[in-house]
Amino acid sequence: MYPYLDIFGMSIPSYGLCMAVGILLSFYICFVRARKNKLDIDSLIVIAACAVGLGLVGAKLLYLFVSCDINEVFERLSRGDISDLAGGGQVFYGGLIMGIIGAFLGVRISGSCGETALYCDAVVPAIPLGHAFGRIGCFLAGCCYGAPYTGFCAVTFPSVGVTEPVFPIQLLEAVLNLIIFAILLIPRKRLKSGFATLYLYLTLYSVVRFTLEFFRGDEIRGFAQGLSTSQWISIGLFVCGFVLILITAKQKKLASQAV
Amino acid sequence: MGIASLVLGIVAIVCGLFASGFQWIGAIVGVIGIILGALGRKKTENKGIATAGLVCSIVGFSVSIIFYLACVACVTGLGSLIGSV
Repeated sequence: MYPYLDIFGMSIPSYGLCMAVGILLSFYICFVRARKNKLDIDSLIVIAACAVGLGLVGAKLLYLFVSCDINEVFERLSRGDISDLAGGGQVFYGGLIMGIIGAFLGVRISGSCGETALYCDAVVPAIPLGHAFGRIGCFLAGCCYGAPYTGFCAVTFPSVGVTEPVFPIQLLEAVLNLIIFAILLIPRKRLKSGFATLYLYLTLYSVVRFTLEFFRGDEIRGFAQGLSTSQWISIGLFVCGFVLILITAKQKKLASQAV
Repeated sequence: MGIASLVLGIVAIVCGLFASGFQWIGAIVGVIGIILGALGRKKTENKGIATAGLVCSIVGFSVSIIFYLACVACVTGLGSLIGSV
């Protein structure tokens, strides 16, 4: 597709541009929701920066874990070959898990522990929005492509050596992420707590990701017992998210009965 | 914190624009600059410098991310990475 875009005479990597646009747009959504909940914007900036920073590290670490021999990685690090390892791809789930940890760390650093649920509610809907832009970047760059397919919207990525038509999985995931984003924005009559927004996102996205993994064609992903690394993580996150939703609902019910 | 944020923001911009292959350093430095800038703005003194540092760090992080995340390397670089690691 278009790994580089010619903008004002400069050759700009399309994936990086999409990621930057996605991160900035996501932060704007966080800003609007935080203002609505009368939250401190400087604290929000700290939380978002910690989440994005640790998220990028986590995405890279999981990519190295599933795609490289760990002994060779340590050998390269000991030789100082960091830039080669820093290049290459990322895995979203590594970014998501470390990003969530980073966000909670950001809450501690900014001294906003008493409003953690409110910040969670402001920040979580931005995740699928940013992710959608990331997947558009993947489509333009030609990575994370789909399985062989010759039907409607089949595409090729000759710039990365994919000359046979494949399924446009990146665009499908981008659309599904935007749908999740819209669902998370809908005001809920039940499960109104900010943490419930996080649990709902984990539950919805894990189902999407588990299903889409069957339509991925790039084989450079970790596999175990017939499922990819992301599918195993999806199972774990779905169980966690669903159980936490049930616990939250039960707590609400008990609290309303006590009143 | 405001001055530190400003310095880190400038470093992030320079890394992003000129340090080919090391833009990831600019991204990390930019994130730290953003955190320090936002924390510096919470204090009433030197809020202007902290804001300037925050803006520089956001710009530096954005520029570094754009040039670091050339995902075409996801596939093409991966083959050479697996072969050489």
